[in-house]
Amino acid sequence: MADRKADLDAENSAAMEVEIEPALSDFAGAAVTRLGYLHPRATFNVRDHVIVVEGAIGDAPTMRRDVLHALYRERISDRGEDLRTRLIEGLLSR
Amino acid sequence: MNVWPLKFRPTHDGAILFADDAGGFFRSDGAFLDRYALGALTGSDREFLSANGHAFETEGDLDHTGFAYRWASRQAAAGDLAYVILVPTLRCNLACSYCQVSRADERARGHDWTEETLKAVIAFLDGLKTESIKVEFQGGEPLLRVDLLERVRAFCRRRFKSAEFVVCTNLQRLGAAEWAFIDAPDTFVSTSIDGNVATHRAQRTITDDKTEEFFSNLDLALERLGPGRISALPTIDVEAPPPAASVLDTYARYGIRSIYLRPINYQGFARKRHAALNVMDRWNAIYREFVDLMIERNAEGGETFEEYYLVHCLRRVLRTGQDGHVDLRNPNFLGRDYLVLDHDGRFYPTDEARMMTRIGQIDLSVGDIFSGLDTSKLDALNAHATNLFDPDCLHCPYQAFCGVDLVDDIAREGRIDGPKIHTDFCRRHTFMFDLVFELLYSRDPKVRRSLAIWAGVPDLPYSIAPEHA
Repeated sequence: MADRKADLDAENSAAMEVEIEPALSDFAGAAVTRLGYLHPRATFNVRDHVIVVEGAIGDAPTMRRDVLHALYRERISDRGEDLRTRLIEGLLSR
Repeated sequence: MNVWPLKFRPTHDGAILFADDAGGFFRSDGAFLDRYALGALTGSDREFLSANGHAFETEGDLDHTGFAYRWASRQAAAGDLAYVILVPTLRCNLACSYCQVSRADERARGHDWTEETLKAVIAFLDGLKTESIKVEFQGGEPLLRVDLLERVRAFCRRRFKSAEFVVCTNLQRLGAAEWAFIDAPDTFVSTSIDGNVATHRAQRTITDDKTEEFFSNLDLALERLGPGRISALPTIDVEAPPPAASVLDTYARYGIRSIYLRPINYQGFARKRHAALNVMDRWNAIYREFVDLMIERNAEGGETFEEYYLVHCLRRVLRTGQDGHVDLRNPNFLGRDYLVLDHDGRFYPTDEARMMTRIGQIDLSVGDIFSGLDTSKLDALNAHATNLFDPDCLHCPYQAFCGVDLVDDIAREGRIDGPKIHTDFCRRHTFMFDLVFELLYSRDPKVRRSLAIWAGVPDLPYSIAPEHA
């Protein structure tokens, strides 16, 4: 843990906030969980209506895009789960 | 209207690629992504999605049924066991630098099938349900025991309605018996040409005599068998790759136009050492150089080249049912339709599993020829043999075209339950499908000519790669 913190300090100590649209707020928790292993040198936390990114942000526009896309992916996956389940159940039960 | 879930990925040129679970795909932009993800599709969006098979009105309607059919066609159905890789001997008459774990010295004892093992192999083959068998002889150098190969082949010809044999041979020391074996029309030769003559000598044959012996035998084999019954692949050293042009020239000289480029498959400590050298990125750069050169050469007319695995990935994008390559399919159940049988009678689900067991990394043998398959071990592995529910693959637009390689995950990551996105398999195939889609959306006439050749069609229409503004 100490090593990782040292890495973060050394590499990039910047922070940024990405606003969460109301339609995406239910998916922020799932998104930061996934972002945490996609970007292991950064940390992600949900505060109010933003995701706070700290550590090795790298290229800020790219990180902002990745955060937004993570939210989108979780929402799409959630919204599509019922369709997927019914498709597979329908095919396997025939 | 119901829209099937769309996975997306930014492309190299700033667009966004979308694909559904049945492999339908298109390109659009960030504005469309915003509208789709936030539930604000326009009439034009809905029209496009409906016209291109990404949506349906009611469950069971034609659009829904069509999607269900396409989705089901994307799933690989493992048939009866009909493909066996047999290793009758581990001994070899070469000592290639990158092959130490899968061979034994030619003079070593205890590395060949015994008479008892041979009889058990034949009894095992006799018990298979299939009427059509493919037998691949690997080693070591399998032709060192051409007597065993002859007995297996003679049995299979009698037992099965159709039988095909492949000998993976270094073509080094061929006498009358070996030539007689490979001369048969139901028998194919798979060999290695490591790029060009100089590289082949450095990596494999070492001496001038052995190098000359190989290339003379290759000439003779082509003369006797014809190019249609001989395939060859180069094993590329990422740290010292031969020039792409010289590899293509060498293969062209032997009339071999389909080249399966592969990096050296290091094992054990050598793999760890090379992994630290960023081999993946270097390999991808080398690979891209080869593909670009093939596209240039193909545009010049005359005989054309293809990179075998790129063409396979391309065809998996464009068609369903392309499940013949056991390293790339989904689900990829182990121990079902193909199996490896080692020199000591032990079964393995793949050749990589055999290597890992041999170096002591993990025992992935799944029974033996005397006591049968260990189905409990296979079942444990096969519980994870699909990418359908993986939390990374679920978000990936390449999911429908991609697959699973559990043995590779164990070999490289030591486990099968880590994030797929960090695995060597995922990184390699993300690169491959990025390349496929870059080529599919290219407007370069040279690229389009190669794509048409590789897809097996006279001309590739632009409509095969839809775009939504």
